[in-house]
Amino acid sequence: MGVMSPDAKTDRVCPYCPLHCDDLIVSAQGEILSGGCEIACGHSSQIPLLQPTIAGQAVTRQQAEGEAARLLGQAHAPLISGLACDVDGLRAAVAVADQCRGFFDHGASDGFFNGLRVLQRRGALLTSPAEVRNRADVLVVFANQPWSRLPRFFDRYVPSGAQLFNDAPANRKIVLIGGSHAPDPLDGADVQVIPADLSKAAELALVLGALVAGRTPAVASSAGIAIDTLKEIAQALKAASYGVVAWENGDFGPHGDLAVEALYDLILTLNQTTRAAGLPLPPGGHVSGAHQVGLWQAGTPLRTCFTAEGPVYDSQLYSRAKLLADGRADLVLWISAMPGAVLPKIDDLPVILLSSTAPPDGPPPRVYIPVATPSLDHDSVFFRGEGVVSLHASRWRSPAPYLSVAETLAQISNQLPKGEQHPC
Amino acid sequence: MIVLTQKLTLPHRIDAGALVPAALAGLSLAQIEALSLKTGLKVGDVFTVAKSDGDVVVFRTQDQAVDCIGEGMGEGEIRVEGPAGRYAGRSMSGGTLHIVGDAGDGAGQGKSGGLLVVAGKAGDFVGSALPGRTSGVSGGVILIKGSVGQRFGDRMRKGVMIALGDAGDFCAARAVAGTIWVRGRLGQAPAQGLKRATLLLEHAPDALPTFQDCGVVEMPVLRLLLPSLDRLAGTRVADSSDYRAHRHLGCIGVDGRGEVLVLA
Amino acid sequence: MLTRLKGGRLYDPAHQVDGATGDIWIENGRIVAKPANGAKPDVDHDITGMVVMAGGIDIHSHIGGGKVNLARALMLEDHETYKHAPQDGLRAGSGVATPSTFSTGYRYAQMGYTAAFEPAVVISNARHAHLEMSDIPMIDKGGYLMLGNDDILLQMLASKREQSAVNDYVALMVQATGCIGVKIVNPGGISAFKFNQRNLGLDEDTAFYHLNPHRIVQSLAQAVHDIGLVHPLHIHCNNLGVPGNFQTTLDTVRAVEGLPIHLTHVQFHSYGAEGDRHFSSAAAHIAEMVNATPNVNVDEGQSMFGQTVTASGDTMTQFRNAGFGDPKKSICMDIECDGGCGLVPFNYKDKNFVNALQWTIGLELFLLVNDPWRIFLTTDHPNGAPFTTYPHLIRLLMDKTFRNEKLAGINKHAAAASTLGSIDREYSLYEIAILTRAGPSRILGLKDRGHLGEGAAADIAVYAPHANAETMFDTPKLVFKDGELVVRDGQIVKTVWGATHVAQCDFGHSIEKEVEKWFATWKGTRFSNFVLSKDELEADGRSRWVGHNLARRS
Repeated sequence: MGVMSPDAKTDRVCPYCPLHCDDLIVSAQGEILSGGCEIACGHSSQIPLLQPTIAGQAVTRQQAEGEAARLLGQAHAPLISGLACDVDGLRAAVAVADQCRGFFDHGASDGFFNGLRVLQRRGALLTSPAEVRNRADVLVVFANQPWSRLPRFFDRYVPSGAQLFNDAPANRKIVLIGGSHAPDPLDGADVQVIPADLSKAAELALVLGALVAGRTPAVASSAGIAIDTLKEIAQALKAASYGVVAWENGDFGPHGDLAVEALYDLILTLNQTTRAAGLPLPPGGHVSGAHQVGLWQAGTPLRTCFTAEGPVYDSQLYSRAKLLADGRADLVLWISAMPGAVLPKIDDLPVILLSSTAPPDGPPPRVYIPVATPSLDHDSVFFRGEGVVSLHASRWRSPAPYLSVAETLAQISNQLPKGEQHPC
Repeated sequence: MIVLTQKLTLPHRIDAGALVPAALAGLSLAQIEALSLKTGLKVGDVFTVAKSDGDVVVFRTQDQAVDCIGEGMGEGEIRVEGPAGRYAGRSMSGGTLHIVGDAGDGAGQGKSGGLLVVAGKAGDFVGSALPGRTSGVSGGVILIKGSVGQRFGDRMRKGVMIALGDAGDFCAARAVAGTIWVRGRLGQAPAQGLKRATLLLEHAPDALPTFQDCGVVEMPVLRLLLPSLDRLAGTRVADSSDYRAHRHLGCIGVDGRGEVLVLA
Repeated sequence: MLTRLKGGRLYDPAHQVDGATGDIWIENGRIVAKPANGAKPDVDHDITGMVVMAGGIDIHSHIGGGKVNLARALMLEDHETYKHAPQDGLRAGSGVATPSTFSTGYRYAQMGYTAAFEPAVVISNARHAHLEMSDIPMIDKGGYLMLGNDDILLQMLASKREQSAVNDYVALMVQATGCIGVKIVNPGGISAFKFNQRNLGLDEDTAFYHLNPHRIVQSLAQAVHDIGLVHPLHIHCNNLGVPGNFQTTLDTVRAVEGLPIHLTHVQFHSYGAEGDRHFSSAAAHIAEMVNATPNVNVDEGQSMFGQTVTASGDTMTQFRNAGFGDPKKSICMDIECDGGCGLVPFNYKDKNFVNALQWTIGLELFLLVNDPWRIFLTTDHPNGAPFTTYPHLIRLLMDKTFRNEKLAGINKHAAAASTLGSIDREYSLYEIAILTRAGPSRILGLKDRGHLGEGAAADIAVYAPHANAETMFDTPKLVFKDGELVVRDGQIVKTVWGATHVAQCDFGHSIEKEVEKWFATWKGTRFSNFVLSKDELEADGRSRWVGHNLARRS
């Protein structure tokens, strides 16, 4: 921590986790002076010294961009992924996917799709952070240990101070199911921690739903939780004025959609008599931003292929992992300007990496172009992880000597061989 | 008969969805070879095509890289001599799709009619719902002679599905109606969120925590159901049955009135 | 560059021009007088005999923002069925009921529309709405800010703060969110639903705040008037879709005691509860009220048959109607102490009594309201139908024979219960130009749009006359946006970016401090990172922020 100086900048937006806390104070050099959690403060404020490369050999930025354009121009089915960047970077990424007839998926969207699948099939009944903060009198969280990736979650969603609509916030009940211990800021609050096997979260939610509806399952426990304990939780939710059911999409395994759907049914049952709403914990890597931008520009969510007939969405076939496993893609453009979408090991395809950090160890990507870090180096817009609020982030420091993702992609796009001029 | 023989190891998976009997009927050999596939290749790039009398379409495949065979077919017959890739018989509404080898994930997804037979084993999400659809299979018959993967019969709404072998985890999840019969053993967590469908078994599942145990009861409906299933599957289960089953009602988590029956 | 449109039949109601033949001259994006020096045009379009109107302006269309994106995710079939490839410089896209941003811009332009206004900008979602609107090419845009269920305002009203403070707050938020109007949705009801209140009449008290909607509407209509917004308070009344709700609509008009108001998608608020099925048309009552009440404007919200999705800020109503979903799925969301949203897919069927009667009610309203300057052509896209149905709707209004043919095809009981068949009125081209151009521009205060006078922006649609008005309005011959030819024979020949229209208001400094504190305390976020600015909006090179200065009226 540095010393507060008169040229310190206030109300800075943090790019490092999906809470995007926006009360940071930073020095003129971009060093966090106040408001930073352990994740934010764990990042160096030093501008990294990075060099564009082709096959590991140092080149100029223009050479790297030219090679990237050449590869994209040749590719029949490029996969545009990673997508950990700001809104303008994402807009440019969709445009490139459209221009090159590529696939479009975020680099870490598996958990997100557990929720999206249910939203698309059945719907959703959701709430958002400020409602939780001011209204929730019971909060039940199904998650293993998300607090390490969301250090200020409780500070932001259920701070210890007053609530607008709950006269006695001290009576607010928080139940953490699955987690092994409560995070520190919760000391003193009414927190119940219940270890559970979240691979059985679907069953657990169905059992809770049955209990809320007054039906008693003929089992002594579910997912490792005694039925009497579950009865108490069901009763608390039913008695709540505004119960919030939160969950970590990524903790339910590959068939986690069944758990999310069972939680949705639980929420619907609760809403027959009182109010309750769901809250997926915010996903990392700006997945929510990638989802929003892709959706409004293409009309279809992530996991879209820009075919000759237009965008085609397939949540199963066009996942980043399946595309790589099936060999459907013949080139990967990976964007990682902020944390949350680490380049996976890809041996058999050429990779163009746009990253604000050095390439991972191992064989170098075919093309590597360093890019600026949004928020730190340039004004940017982020969707907070819940996907509702987007914030304007003013830059923290003098710009790094790298272009933004949007600028880099514009340079590449301009050199693509196709003669089509796109309006962005 | 139109025979499409896969002629090379494909650079990537291909989508054979367009090659259904109704679409190929009346085309010359050259016309078939010139048809475009979704992935940009032409039929002639991928298959050696032979044509003789009759409208049966035969795929001779080498590996599971040919997806969507029989997608959307409404009539006629397709035979796959070899393995089928993903989504064989997706959205089919009629006709017969006979896969002599194994089938990949998603076979019969969103199917509304017709007969899909897999002589070998089949992958995950067989007979499940199309992405974003509120319910799954709405008619016809799916018969898997081998074992089948996870989420068999997911969200089924109508019709019959049979696996003569084992079925993987989350079998019959969210099934709304219809009949799913698994002769082998089940993976974990079957029939979660069952609404009104029937899951018929010969081996008791590990646990059914969200079902009411009704004990072993005489089920007159089995006198009709078992012979008809035998006819579809070529089995003789009815012969040895006393039409009694261990009956479980649920899923109580969604106010369901479906049943899991384990033949006694 | 000087352009001439030569010999068209001009329909320019703002200047009482009704089909007179004349030339239009365009220079630097503006309509100009015929050059006095006899200069020859650089480009000359001979449009002899063709119908010329200003570009269409859609006053109420859900084109962008969080709920629109949720609707896109929900409506997979819409995007599987309708998609287009990137070609000739256009971007790919998909959807009709919930089109992607590029598709939205292209389709509006292809129908001769050059502006559309998003009527439900949630405070906390304003930036998202603008980001989407920035990605809509071809047309001008603007948004109406949803107020009246936001806890800041409800707190102010419950604690009986003076009207001037309410005015300051409304002005601040309109400015901070870059909007051009204010909308209220189910006054007090979205908030009340969060407290588990399931219905709310105009004179019932809301849970927690003990405010009745009457008071909320009155105060907000006053604020909109006082701060000088040209567009009067845009009201989505309580009890949308509820049989007998016409009474709530009439009561709402009384509640504002003569203040100017705009009642939106009034078709959904003109229902009686008569007859065997306790659902009937009250269009005559509503039309009679409009005819007799000059301070009231309405837009239609016409429903049309077919698949669509209802997308609304009215969580209370949407939760109640979720069971009618077709396909049966729905999304509801409580949003940030500001409001909410609800999405329910809907398939209006001509053989369904209620759906058929809704269709007749909308058309009855159109035909019974006498003054075309006070009713606007909308389907509340996508709630009543996608905006792409406008040409069909125009034909229904202009062609009685066609209308009666369609009437004969709907549910017999609905047809029998409706007076539609007995109404002879047919809209003229002049009246259609009022409904879709001149009226909207006047009620929004867009002084240089919606007309063909000198100095107007050259947003112009040229149609080939046709006996079938649907054909005529579906495929304009030429469309100009800010003087550039963008559509020829229904095909886009050039992509351009439109402007974003924004009201610029004054407000007291003290209210800003108060709101900053509220954001930090209750929302846990900073007002400074929430406020939208011209610089931010224009930074992407697509948006042009056109400010409309307001003069305070008190």
